[in-house]
Amino acid sequence: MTANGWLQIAIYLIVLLLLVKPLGLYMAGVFEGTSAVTRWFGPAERALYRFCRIDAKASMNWKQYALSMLAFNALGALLVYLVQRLQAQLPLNPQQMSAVSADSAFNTAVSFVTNTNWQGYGGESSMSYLTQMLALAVQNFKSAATGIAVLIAMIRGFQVKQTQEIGNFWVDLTRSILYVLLPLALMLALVLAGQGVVQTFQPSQIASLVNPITVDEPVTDAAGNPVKDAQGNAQTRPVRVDSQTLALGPAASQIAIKQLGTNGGGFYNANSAHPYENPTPLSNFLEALAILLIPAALCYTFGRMVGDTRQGWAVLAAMVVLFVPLLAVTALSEGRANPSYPAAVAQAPSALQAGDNMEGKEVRFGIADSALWAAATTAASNGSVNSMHDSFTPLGGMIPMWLIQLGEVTFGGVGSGLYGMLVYAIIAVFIAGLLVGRTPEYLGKKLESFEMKMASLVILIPPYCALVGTAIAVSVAAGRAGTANPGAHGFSEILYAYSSTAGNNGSAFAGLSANTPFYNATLGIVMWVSRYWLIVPVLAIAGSLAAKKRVPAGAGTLATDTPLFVVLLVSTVVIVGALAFFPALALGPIVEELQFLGH
Amino acid sequence: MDMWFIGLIVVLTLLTWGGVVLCARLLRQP
Repeated sequence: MTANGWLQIAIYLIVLLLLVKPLGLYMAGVFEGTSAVTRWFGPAERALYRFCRIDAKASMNWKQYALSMLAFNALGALLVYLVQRLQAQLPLNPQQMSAVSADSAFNTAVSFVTNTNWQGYGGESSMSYLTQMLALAVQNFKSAATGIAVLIAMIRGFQVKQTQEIGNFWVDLTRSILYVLLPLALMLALVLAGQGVVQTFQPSQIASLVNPITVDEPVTDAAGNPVKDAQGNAQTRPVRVDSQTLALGPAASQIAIKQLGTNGGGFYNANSAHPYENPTPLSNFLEALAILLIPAALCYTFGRMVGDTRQGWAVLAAMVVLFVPLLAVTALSEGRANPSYPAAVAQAPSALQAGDNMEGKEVRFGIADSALWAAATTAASNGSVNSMHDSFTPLGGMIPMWLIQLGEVTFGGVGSGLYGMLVYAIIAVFIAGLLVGRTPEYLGKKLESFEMKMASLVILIPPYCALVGTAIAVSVAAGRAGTANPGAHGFSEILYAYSSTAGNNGSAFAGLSANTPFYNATLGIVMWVSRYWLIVPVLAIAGSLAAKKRVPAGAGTLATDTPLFVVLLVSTVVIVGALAFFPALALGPIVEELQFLGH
Repeated sequence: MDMWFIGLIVVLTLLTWGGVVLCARLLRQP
């Protein structure tokens, strides 16, 4: 890593933190209805409610809120499924793509509805423009808005007292889209298009190569699994290439929201490593900034809405304390020479080469921007990539995987990251109560057995899904067939896939051939369970807290806006993450790192 | 095949619905 690389990372963090307060303040105004923008566009918003026959003044209890959310998302999943299956008969299909297979359509439908955006398919080779826009990009807005709405409901649980009402799901959803996601996405899409990201309905173009080349193409069987040699390594065959398909389409509009909404599903298979999706250093900086922007700003929104901004800063501080060291480890790990190469191979950075572990990375972005993106996209539940995590060093690949396994609360998804972190805060307060006899209360609300039961579900379901899913996949032939590498690295590919889907992240380790009926079905189920079976207990906590009275802070109350609480919160997240996943990590990236160092 | 996967989405939705009902009973709120 060069000094220039560290400087770029520092600038990124400074710009991000400078934007937290203005955006957080704006969002608090939007959801409390005090922002000027809600007055300016009030007539349009009310017209939407009238059109949809929604009584915007009617507040819901947590159960009504949860069932509205569930119905909305279930219908969204069915719509995304049907559009993929019928795309051959629908317009805006210049490449004449055939219908997506049933198992892949199921996986993608659940993936985009749950804000995971795991992609078993290649966008430019399987989806029509209509599917990309109407099914996938629209769902990017809807799933992100669902996460924000659930968070706002939880914040209201702390705000209100002795009531069962936590707001109106349809109003929170509409305001998230209308005043937060749409304006930000529109601005970013215009800038990205200005940088060269494609935005067109023209069909793909075929270009003849001036110098035909020969490349190694993976060999796959009829089921789409890699064909392997006796040692378990994936086989390739040389293929002569004399023309290249330049895939086009309405990309910029989709990429803006996939970054801002922590969705991550790329227009192209190579995601933001593709030059049409992320062409310049500026587009790379803005796309990376968009990953963490809303999750970070929502911390300030939270503090503002509960009437004590120090509470929001404390939660943000915990996220930063978790994120920065892990980002540094990733960057340092990728800034190493590969010891398995002969000493005669020059790997040091120089004027002629980027140097260090550049395998799987864009030369345009280098080590720093690739490591920064990898850490940001896994800390947030974004999942977009500008480099291939499968080609990272074992330690450099383990950190993004562990950031996912920490529960996607280090910034996390829009809304979902903060409500996950607030659940951890509830657990941290409860642990403090057990350890030092403090009253188990958070933000003036007493925490009792119901909140702890629900919080336990929230922290246990994702590891359960990830580890049980991995165990099943490595136990059956259909699961093992998808790996491109034998041994520890192959295990890491499977563990990463189930961790990514259980964390609703969506990034892939890239080596796994996951577009098979086995992976499409099992990963789809994992995504659904770890999204909605977390939202339900979170809303139940909100409903329970809303019904309680507010108790004034007493001598036994643990202050939750101090550095001590930040340390307690960070420790709770790390210990839970480490305890749940350490044995599995030891079988994958840890043993691989030891082999790596042993060269 | 379509009915299998549409059915799976419906089943997952109903299971989640059941989760809401269970949590509500645990909370003893109407």
